[in-house]
Amino acid sequence: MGVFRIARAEFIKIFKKPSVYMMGVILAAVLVLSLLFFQPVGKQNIIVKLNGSTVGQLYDMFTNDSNPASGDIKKSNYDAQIAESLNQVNFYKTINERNESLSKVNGEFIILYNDLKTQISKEDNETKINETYTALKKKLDQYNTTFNNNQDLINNSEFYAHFTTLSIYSDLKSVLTELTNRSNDGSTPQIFVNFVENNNYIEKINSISSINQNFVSSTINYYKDQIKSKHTEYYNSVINSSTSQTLFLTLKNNLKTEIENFSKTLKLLENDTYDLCFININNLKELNNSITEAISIIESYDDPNSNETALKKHTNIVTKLHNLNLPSKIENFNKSLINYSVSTETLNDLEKILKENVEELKNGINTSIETLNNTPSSENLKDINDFNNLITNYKGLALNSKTLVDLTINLEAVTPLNSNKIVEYNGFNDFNIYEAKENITRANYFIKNGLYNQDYNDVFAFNKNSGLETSAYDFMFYAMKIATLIITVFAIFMAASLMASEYDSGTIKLLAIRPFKRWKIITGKLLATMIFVLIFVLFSFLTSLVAGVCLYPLDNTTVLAIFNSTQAFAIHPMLLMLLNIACIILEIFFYTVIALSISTMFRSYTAAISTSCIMFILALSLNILFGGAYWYSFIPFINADLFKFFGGSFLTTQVGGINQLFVPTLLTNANFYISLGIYGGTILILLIITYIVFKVKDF
Amino acid sequence: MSRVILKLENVTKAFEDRVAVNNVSFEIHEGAIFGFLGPNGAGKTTTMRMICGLTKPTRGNITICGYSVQHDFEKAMQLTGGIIENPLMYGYMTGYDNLKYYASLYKGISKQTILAYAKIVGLEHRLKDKVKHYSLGMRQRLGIAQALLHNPKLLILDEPFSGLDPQGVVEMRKFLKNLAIKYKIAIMVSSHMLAEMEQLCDTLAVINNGQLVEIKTIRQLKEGMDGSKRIRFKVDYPNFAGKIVINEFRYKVDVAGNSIYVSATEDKVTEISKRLLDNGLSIFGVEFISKSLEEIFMDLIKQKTNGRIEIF
Repeated sequence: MGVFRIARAEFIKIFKKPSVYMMGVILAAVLVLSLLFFQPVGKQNIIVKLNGSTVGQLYDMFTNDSNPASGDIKKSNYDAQIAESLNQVNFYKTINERNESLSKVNGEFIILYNDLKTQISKEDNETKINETYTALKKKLDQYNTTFNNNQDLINNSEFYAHFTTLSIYSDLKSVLTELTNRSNDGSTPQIFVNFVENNNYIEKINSISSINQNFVSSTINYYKDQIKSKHTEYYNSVINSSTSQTLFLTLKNNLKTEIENFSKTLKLLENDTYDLCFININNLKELNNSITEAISIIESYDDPNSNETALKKHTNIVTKLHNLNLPSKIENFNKSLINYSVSTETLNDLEKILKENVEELKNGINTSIETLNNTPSSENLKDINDFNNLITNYKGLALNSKTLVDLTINLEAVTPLNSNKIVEYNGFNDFNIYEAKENITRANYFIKNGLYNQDYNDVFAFNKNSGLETSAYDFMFYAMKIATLIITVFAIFMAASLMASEYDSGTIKLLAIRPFKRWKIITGKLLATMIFVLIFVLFSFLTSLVAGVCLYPLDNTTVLAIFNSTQAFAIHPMLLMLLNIACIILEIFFYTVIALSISTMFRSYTAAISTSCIMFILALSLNILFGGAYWYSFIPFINADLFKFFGGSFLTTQVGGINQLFVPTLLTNANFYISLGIYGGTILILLIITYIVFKVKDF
Repeated sequence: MSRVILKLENVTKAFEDRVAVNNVSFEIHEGAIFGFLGPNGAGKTTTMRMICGLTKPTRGNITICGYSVQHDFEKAMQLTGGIIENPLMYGYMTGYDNLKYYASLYKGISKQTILAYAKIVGLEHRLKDKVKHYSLGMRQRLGIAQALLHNPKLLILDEPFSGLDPQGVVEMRKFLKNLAIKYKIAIMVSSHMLAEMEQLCDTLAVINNGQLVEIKTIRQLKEGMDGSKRIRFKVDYPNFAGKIVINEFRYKVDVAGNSIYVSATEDKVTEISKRLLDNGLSIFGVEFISKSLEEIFMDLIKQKTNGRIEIF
């Protein structure tokens, strides 16, 4: 009760301040300016419109690539996009399947082998042992077949080349060959088991198959080891036996071949955009330079113009190569490579979604065409519209599926990494996990709900969804965004002056002797400021609503809000607008509390205003500098704007041409609940400190 | 026995480096005007700030009408009005708005009440002016008006006379006396203006170095320690008369103009007059001079601090 009384009393003071009316005038002026600066966004090409044609002509245009009029609506364009998405899914599926089948056979083989070993040691009857041995031989054959199939797959696909686990495969192959040879030369089970035991073959197989996920790094590893050993050999040959020129030349050529092979593998990696995402490009460039240099050093041995003695040449080249430190550079590069895998469940889901939807749409198009064929004279508008919609849906599906597959696979690859790691890899600066998740949720929602005619990239903006040029909501959002900046600054000034001016004029003494506990005084002042903020926000809201409705159509088509990047809700745009306003009020509350706390604790108007304003400005602009940093999301004031967790980040970039500066910080590791916790925790701690300081203070 | 409004029991306030108020106890009854005297830094304002809850006592209890200021702050303050250290009001608001602001902090104070108190303090014609244009005296009156708005039982006034013109001082004095008699409000006043305090207060407390030196009614104070009074003899040769009194009675004598001042008990007047007349001097007049509060005050401070007087 006392709190409300104080708040009411503060209001008597607030409305006597000339500055408040000044603020009102400024806010009104800013709202008028926002009307002038608002740039209505033209609708983008979402729905394919083909008017003035018969349905038959439309069908021709859609299916016939050679028709110049078809342009954007070429069926093959969308077919290609869908096919590419499916290919991508299949590629990862194949890799997963290959590894799974191989490890499955491997496991079965080892179980059989263990059975055999146990039977022999128990001295079971010979028939049983022989049966198991035969089964084992069969399994070994299956093992070989699976292995060869996989290797064929690898050899036949250029695309897979750099993923090939070459060293693993060659090691495994040699083990398999020896086991097959031994089992075929008529030896008894006992001899076979002894042979396997003596050579530790089971351990070898196990160690090889346990690392079958390392696609890229194992390739590099293989060459790295080769180069390392060759280099060492080469170095030692010169250092230890300086006269062995023949040996030296052989080694030199071998080393050159290996380096060139390695270089080729790197070129393949560089050419493939997917993998560049995971590799530190600077490392790769440095390594490539070193390799080129190494090759030129080795080639300089054959230089006919050189009149040095062979020995001196050897020594020079070896020293140069040694100084190049190639093995350790490769080692560094190797460290920057990461494991790369996508879960089978995700891939299955993706494949299912794609296949079902594509089938459905294709059927729709085919049915439509059949109907048209049965009534060839049909030229009525409805048919054209229906056909238009089908084409648009097909286009939407192609776009959405591409987004979905691209983002899902990238996200899966990035998920096991921590934020530091993601930032470390240059290629990932632009990849925002939160944004990717949000886009995946969005694309999923559209595909699953059959809303194909949504252009995925622009869905959240009110205007894009409305199917009109610009909706009144777009202007409202724009105007509120600008009004928020002004109101926040006003709230900071208000909160700071409510406390600091009492200290300055000494009236705090007259206030503190009223029958109110100290905490009620602070709370009352906070409440008064928030009511003041509420009045300004409501004023801006109503003004922008009226102006928006007068100038632009009020389109109430549902919009899609994505909460915390995982849940999609189709809601009325006004509801989203109110949610936006609630978030605005929470954001202003945060700065109000900061200003009030500082002015209470330090009794300084200037300190309160400058600190709060600096925080506010930093919150608006700091993401340009530190947006990707791991610690960034734990700065309290970065978490003050909660609307970004309802899909707000995309709205701002597209509505009314708001400058990039005002884009809310979208953290790569953002989470609504963590942000809410940091926001609430900061306010709670600040308020508790303020209450305590104010309570124990003498006036 | 009238009701005790304010009661201090062994109140001590210690700061990090010094003890500002040391073991002070006193009571103020309803309708009483209690003067609080003491040199700068003696602990007057600190005591008043403790009574108003602006700072907390290190030890001891302060109760207002039985409600502890520390534990029942809201109830105690409901009964208290005050003005401490002469604060500036909200300069950008009019006098009326200032009063309205303070009135709105309490339940059910009507516009009539505000205007009535404005009239009592004599601000009714300046209520529509901004407070920043007010003189110091007018601000002082506004301060008293805001302290009275909620009908307090206890009024704490820190230096209420500062900045008032002589006429204002007289008015203020009448006004406060009226408050005490008519509304039975207990008033605690601190001031440097000893003459005013003498005329205003029923009881005076003297505080020095944080310790309560004396609490007495004005009459008790004036009676002096040994009952001696100051007697003025108007004579034709004052220097000669002075010598006679000093030689024959060994009293302390001051000579000023055509008068001598003698500190003596009442029964000695005849004897001194007789001796003067015997020596051929003419006496034009004899009167008892009351010892001024200032003198008493200086004596008290001197006495209790063993002759060490601080600048006052």
